Amino acid sequence: MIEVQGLGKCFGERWPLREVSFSLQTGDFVGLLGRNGAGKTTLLRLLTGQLQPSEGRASIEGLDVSARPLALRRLAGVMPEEDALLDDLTGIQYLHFAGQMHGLHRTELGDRIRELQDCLEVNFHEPKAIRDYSYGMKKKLAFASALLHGPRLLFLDEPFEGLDPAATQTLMEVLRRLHAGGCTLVMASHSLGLAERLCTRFLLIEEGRILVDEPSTGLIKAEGDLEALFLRHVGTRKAEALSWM
Amino acid sequence: MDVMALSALWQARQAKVPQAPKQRRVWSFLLFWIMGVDLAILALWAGWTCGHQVVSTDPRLLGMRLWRVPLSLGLAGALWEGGCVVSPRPFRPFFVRARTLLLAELMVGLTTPVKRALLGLGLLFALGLGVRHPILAPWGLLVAALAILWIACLERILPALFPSGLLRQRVLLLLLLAVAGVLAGLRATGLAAPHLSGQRPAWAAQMEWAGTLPGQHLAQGASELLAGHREAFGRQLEVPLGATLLLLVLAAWMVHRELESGPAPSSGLGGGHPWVFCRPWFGVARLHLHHLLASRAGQLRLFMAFMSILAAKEPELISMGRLEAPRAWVAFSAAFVFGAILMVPLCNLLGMERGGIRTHWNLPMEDRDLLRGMLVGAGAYAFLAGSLILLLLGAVHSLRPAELLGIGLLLVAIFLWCAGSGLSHSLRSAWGMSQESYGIQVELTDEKLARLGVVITPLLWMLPVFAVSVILGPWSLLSCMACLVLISALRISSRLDTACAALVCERETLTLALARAS
Repeated sequence: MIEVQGLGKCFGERWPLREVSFSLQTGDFVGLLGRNGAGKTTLLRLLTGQLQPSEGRASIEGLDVSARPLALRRLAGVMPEEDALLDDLTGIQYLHFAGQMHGLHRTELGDRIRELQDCLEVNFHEPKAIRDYSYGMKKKLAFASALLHGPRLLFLDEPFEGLDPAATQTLMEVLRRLHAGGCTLVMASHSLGLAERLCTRFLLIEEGRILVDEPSTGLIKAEGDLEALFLRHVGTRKAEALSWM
Repeated sequence: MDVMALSALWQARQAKVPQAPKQRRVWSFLLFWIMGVDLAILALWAGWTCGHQVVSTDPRLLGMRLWRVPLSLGLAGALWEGGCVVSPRPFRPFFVRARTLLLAELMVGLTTPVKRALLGLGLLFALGLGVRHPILAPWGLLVAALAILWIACLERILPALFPSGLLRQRVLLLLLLAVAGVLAGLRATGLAAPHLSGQRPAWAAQMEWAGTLPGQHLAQGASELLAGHREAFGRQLEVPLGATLLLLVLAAWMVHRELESGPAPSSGLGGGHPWVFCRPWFGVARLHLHHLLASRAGQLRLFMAFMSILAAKEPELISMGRLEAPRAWVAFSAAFVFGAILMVPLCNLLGMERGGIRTHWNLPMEDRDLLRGMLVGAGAYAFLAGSLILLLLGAVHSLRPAELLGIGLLLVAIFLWCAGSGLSHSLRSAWGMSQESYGIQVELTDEKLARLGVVITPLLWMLPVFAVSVILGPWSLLSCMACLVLISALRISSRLDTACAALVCERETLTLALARAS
């Protein structure tokens, strides 16, 4: 479904992503792992057509991502990072706008929003601008807007960040159901425990290159757990004593 | 129109179609211009002659020309998606061989911006009418508006009736052939009637020209109006208005049926969605207007309209004789304040989105729809500001209706001109604007000077035109202003294409710039 060949992105002299190649099948639930600044978000932005690659090529279902075809944006749902929402709107206004752009009929849209609210246990009807939402609320709203049009492919950037444990459980359950329903998911996350429980495949990125690209079953069996794998490949820095403490 | 922009637009079109041999393309380009100029002259001439009461000289010819346009709509769609309205790619298999694009390109030149072309022709026609007989100018505009409305309705009805492209093209072709056959028959009957019966019956002339209904109504309506037969003129209005109403109802019903039949097709809101308020750009426009009206800076800018009274008041005291220069000064202050209100919204169109611009990138919407929506939203805001200014100036200075209309048209031209320049400025030097901020910054930077230039430049050349036309008289004022609007509209249309191309390169820089809060 997703074919990535020699993908790279440079900003000036810096290459946050370089020579990345992999291919994903329909129904995969892929965890993008890596340190802060490893290149996960850049990869997601390249895959969603927000960034133009400096080298290489990515295609989804045969469609060249860099051309930003409409068909691709109809096919995929993107849960953007927190600051990518139109934060002058209220939650319900934002969802209505996104739904209308996807061509959903008002009645259908209302029903879906209601279901999403019940599922995520939130109320987007509050007369409050998104900028005044809590971090977790913004995450839920971004997730809801990504799901509105029933995408077959979902890109998630740190979906669990800032969520309370109950909301995390709910979100996990929703993701599991989406995956069981045949949806392909690509999730960038630092929550290794959650990723271990959800993903069927892992891509470990370090300094813009892919270190590990394996299905979860064999990988976990070989390494014990994801954290061990992560630390073995990425390494850890020795915490030095603070001079003033 | 900017020649470079036109050339870029032409090249973009060419890139999307199978390439015809170069020589043929050159010829079609030349023919396109010849036909365009021909139509423009014809429209002016028709208006002039009609205004001169030489109705028989035949403004109906214009009607014929106008009605050839919708007939050729299909050819436009044959060449690139979104260019056509009635059907996506209807007539190519029938009329145009794969690489024989001469005829198609010629028609494309005439039909692509079909509504714009009609509006332009209508305006020119109204100009011609207005110069001779001012009272006829609105009538010409009305006919052009109706023609546009008819086409808009057809755009909605046909795709809803025949969802399959192939079926649509065949039905449409049969329909056109049938209509052409009936019209040819009618005309032949009309021509033959006098020879058959020895005298020409009254209905024969009508039958002869039955194919040019709008033109016929235009001609007859104009005659009635000139002769002072208002009742008969009203009757002339009944047919086109009735037909328009019928088409509107039919279109509304079709769309209602489509919307009620379930969720929209998986393709979402493509450019071909049949109802304007369902189009992506309309959603963006509404969003942008909401942003502008809800922001403190946007509200504060609207209050600047009151400055136009103060700015215009002082020179009013110094009468400059019968050349009505004070009136021109009133227009200057209106234009100046209007420009000041719109300077920031037009030079930073995407500024209110800040990081939220990524939402737009992820939604199924063309860049063109995003920019067009932003412009329409800003246009609605400008309409509010302009109305407020006109209302205030009208009340304070007791302006005559023609002057108010002239100033209104001047403001429209200024908006369109500034929007065209502001568009490229918005992409080059965007910044995130906070809704909470009043947006008052005192330091003067190169960027701000450039913004000022965007607004000042059109004022510099539009206002002298305005002043001269005020001196010449109210109708030449309206004519000049209508021309300015037309030129500015053509310019903005070409700028939109250039901006879309620029957005492809500037997207990342733009996103980063917008994400930085002001």
